[in-house]
Amino acid sequence: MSSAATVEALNKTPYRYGFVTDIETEKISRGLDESVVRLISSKKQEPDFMRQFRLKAYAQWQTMAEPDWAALKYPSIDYQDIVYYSAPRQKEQKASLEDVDPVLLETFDKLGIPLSEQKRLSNVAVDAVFDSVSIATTYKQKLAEHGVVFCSMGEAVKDHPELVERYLGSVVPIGDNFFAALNSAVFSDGSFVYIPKGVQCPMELSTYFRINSDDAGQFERTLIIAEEGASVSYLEGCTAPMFDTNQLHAAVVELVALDDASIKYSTVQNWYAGDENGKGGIYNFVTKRGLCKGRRSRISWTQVETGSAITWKYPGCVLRGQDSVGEFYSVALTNHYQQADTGTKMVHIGPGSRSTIISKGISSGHSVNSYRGLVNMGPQARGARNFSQCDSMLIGDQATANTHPYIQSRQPEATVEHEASTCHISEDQLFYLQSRGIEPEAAVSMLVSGFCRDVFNQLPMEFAAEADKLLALKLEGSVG
Amino acid sequence: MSNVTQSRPRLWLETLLQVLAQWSGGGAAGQPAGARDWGLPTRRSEAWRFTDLRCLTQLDPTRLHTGTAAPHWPEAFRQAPSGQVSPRRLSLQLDGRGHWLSPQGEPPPWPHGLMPLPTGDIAPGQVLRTVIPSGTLLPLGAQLNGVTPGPSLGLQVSGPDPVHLDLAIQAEHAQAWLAPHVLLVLQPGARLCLNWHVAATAQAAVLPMVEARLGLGAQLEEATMAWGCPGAAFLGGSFIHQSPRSVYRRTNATWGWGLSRDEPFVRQSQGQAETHLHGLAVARGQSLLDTHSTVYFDGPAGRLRQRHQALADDRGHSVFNGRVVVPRVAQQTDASQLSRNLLLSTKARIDTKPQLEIVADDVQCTHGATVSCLQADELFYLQSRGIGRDQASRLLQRGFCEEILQRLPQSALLWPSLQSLLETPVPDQP
Amino acid sequence: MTSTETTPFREAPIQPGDLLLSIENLHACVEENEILRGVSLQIRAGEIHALMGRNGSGKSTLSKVVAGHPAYTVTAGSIHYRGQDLLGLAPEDRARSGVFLGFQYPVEIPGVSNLEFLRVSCNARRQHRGQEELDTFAFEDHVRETMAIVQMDPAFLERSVNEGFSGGEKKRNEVLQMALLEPLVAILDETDSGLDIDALRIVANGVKKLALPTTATLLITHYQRLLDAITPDFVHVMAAGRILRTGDKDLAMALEQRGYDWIEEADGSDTLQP
Repeated sequence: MSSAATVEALNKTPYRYGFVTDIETEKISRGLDESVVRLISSKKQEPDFMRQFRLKAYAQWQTMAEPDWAALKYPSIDYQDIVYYSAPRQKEQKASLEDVDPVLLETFDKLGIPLSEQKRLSNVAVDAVFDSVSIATTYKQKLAEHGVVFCSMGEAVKDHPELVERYLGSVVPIGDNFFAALNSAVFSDGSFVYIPKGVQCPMELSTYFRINSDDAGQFERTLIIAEEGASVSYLEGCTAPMFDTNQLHAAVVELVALDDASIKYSTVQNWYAGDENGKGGIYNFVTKRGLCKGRRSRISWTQVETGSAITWKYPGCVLRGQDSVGEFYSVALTNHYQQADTGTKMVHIGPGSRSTIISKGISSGHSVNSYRGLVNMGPQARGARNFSQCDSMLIGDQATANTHPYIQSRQPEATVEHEASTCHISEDQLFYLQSRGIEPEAAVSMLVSGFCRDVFNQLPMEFAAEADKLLALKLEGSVG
Repeated sequence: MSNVTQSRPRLWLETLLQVLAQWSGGGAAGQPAGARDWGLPTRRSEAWRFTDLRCLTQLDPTRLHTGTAAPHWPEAFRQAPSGQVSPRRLSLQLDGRGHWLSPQGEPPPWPHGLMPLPTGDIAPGQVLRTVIPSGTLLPLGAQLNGVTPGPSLGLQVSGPDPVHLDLAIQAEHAQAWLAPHVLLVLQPGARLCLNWHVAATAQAAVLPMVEARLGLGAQLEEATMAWGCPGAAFLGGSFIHQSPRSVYRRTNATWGWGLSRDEPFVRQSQGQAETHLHGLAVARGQSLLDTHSTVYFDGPAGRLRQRHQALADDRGHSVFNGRVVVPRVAQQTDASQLSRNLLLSTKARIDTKPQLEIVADDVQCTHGATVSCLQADELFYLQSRGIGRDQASRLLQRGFCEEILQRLPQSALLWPSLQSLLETPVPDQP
Repeated sequence: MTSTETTPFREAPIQPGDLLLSIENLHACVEENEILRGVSLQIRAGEIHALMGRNGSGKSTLSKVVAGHPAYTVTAGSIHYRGQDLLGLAPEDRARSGVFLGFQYPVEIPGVSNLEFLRVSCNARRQHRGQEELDTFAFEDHVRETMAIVQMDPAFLERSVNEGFSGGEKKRNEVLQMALLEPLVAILDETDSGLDIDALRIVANGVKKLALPTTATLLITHYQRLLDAITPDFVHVMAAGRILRTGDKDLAMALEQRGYDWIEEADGSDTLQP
């Protein structure tokens, strides 16, 4: 059996998280203008600085145009046809988990994220975000004992306004790009993490994003601050129901690492990707950036991107601190009619800063998978180094793999090395595994997971196996 | 960007078009057909590969002329009667009225295997149109060359024995505007070595354009030495249509120009051909040297070997954008591309962007890019053998250049200009 | 064709002398070229066969056709394994039911851990035989014991499948797989080539240990030296896609001394046409 023959729809496994939760929600009407921005701010009872932040962002957004340089094709988005605030209707203030609507708890249970005390994941604290709103955060008390703040963005604005005012928009300025500006104007919730000086966060932190409604956009905002010598590992997971329509997800994530601090941010993205004909799925336009502000600070992005109809995402690091370190490890798998334009930006400002980029793109079906990455060596970045490796794997002859590395250097004592290669699953490898009794689908997913190993090794233990399984699941039906 | 800076190049372009229209004896300023494919590149049309065109737009369109000077032919070429060093070699230089003459100023005796095409058949753009997809902005050099009347050279090449053609252009007078167009039709199995020697010593523009159609199994080796000076602009372009089993080798060395923009575009119309692109750009002083290459595989089992090396010193700036397109029909393509860059000064700049676009699963495509200064351990090794740091640095720079220059034909080494590149770095110019 | 649709063999007990592999008048081609032109061969439990012949005579092709390599098309003839048609089975089902091919050039598979690969493969075979699958820990113990047979360093478990292995290490890895899968019919394609004396001894001892009265081995080789270590019951000489002559170990000795020409001449020159 040839690899080409092996790779033909074997099993169309349905998207496991495609259900819709039936819950009463509070939604505002569709469309966006200044009054909507004010309404969101007042619903969240925000202080004036937040309202000003939003209004300024909205004004800026109006002057901006959607970027068109990515290798993505999609019908134009009608920004007046989106609901900008949608929240499950529940009791005023959730004092404890007991107050959370059981329907919501059940939803997260079904997603494999139990929130109730007795079933919780051990050693992982979870902030669960449903549509636009954080509904529960586990282990808050235990974390508080270490001085770690882990709460929803909404709570952070109320309880830690000074930190929010100081850092929000400091890494991704409100006018950074079209989608970041939109997010800055209308974001409704997200997670906030603060690790005080010298503290190693005692457990993994995790936010689980769930889109439930078919007409609401999801605009969450995450801010993570690690003070001098602090460290934290954070994981983000996402799913959405299956709708025939597309939902817009435009998040902003900002990370700040001070001297000797380290932040590890991992994403397992499994938004609904649309069906095998490309109908439905999430439009994922996300701005993620970390600022290595302090000396020897370190920010590491690991992403496993398997979902979304459209992915537009370049988690990057601004390496301002001397000897700071930025890392980007990515697996992006596209199937059917998915389109992913993803990569990273490593902006070297500080002397001695170092960055590593390992990107593995797998395209199958009719999908388009593009790596787009920028490495910039600024005039002060003496002794800085970058190493990039971008590998693409093509499965079937209908899929596209593009590689667009942008390298800019203004510093002679900086070194940039970029390598890219393209491969496919060779008939010999497949036959070798088959001749040892391994079935073709298992063999293909073994080969793909081998291809991704350098990246999976970077994921927290608890999630590496998950990622492997997810990949195998996503590949089913692409192998033939 | 303010309107003023945007309109200046536009105004310049309009004036230029009027002037060129007068040259051709025509009436109104003619913009060539297909306006969508036409115009100056802007930041919007090419966010990445935008080149600062000031060096070009500082030329005064109303004072442009086509005056040339005699190229500095190496001794061997000057002494040969009618420029024929050997029976299968022809050497030509461009004169001020747009004619190609021998180094002795005589009309060429065509060597066996070279035959001029009828004048009516050599209009610019005929290969270009089959090579570049419609709707894309045409390379600037090709646009401007296309609207400049003459000098055009159309040749048919036949026979399995290689024919050598040397073309020399010397721009010595300010405001010279030299836009030679060469159309080559290589019959199946024909072989041609085309050697360009371009030199500019004044504020001038040289815009050579090559169009070539390679028949089955034909071989074209194109070598270009383009040596300019501050204030001079070089806009080059080769548009190559390759049939199966044909081989195209392009080696070029560019240095000294205020602005250079080189845009080779190769299409392997049915794959199964070989393309070798080797480029060297040495950007010292305030030189801006820019290369945008595209290789398009329109059939299976094509092969590409590409290597671009750039050196940027002083306030020099090198840009490389290499595109390799492998659509579904191009299974078994084997393409590799390497961009190596030496950055030697804190005021200099390197931008590079190798690109792969692939829709075929059974292919072998790789690319790589490096940017660094000279290797410390290599420098140290030479120093530990008693070589001074400066000299060691020069030796290593020379070694870097040689990696590409060694691919130039033997005859190229006779040219004094090349010696100037190799022996001493061009001093820092204002 | 998926492996799940086929019915696997049940492994009934085997007696020495049972017919395990029966190849009848096998013709096979790759692309347009016919490589096998009527091969017939019968292999019984307890036997060791040696298949010799020049490069290009079709030895490797035969082994790959038995294992089910997709590049070869069988145009005529049959292969029966324990009385059942083997050609209808996917490669993985052939392996699971006990047919093993030790590759001449084992492929490198970057990123896939050797340990994981061996475990999945071993369990696929165990499952077929109705044995309990081994979990990670049990398997690691099992594989470490087995590695002793080929004197392989357990460090190889941590590496990617064959990646960066020397020629000898790759071949030992093949014999290790054979030991783990416990095949009934093992075909070893030039497992001796590229080995130094020590490695050859280790591999040969491994193969000998695995050759039981209830299993059969087919050694494809160019050289006498492997047959000095493992005495074959039958020696076959292949040329131009057919088995020209069958004898015992003396035939191999004769080949070593006299080369192949005398056989090919004796058997008629028409078979020498490419």
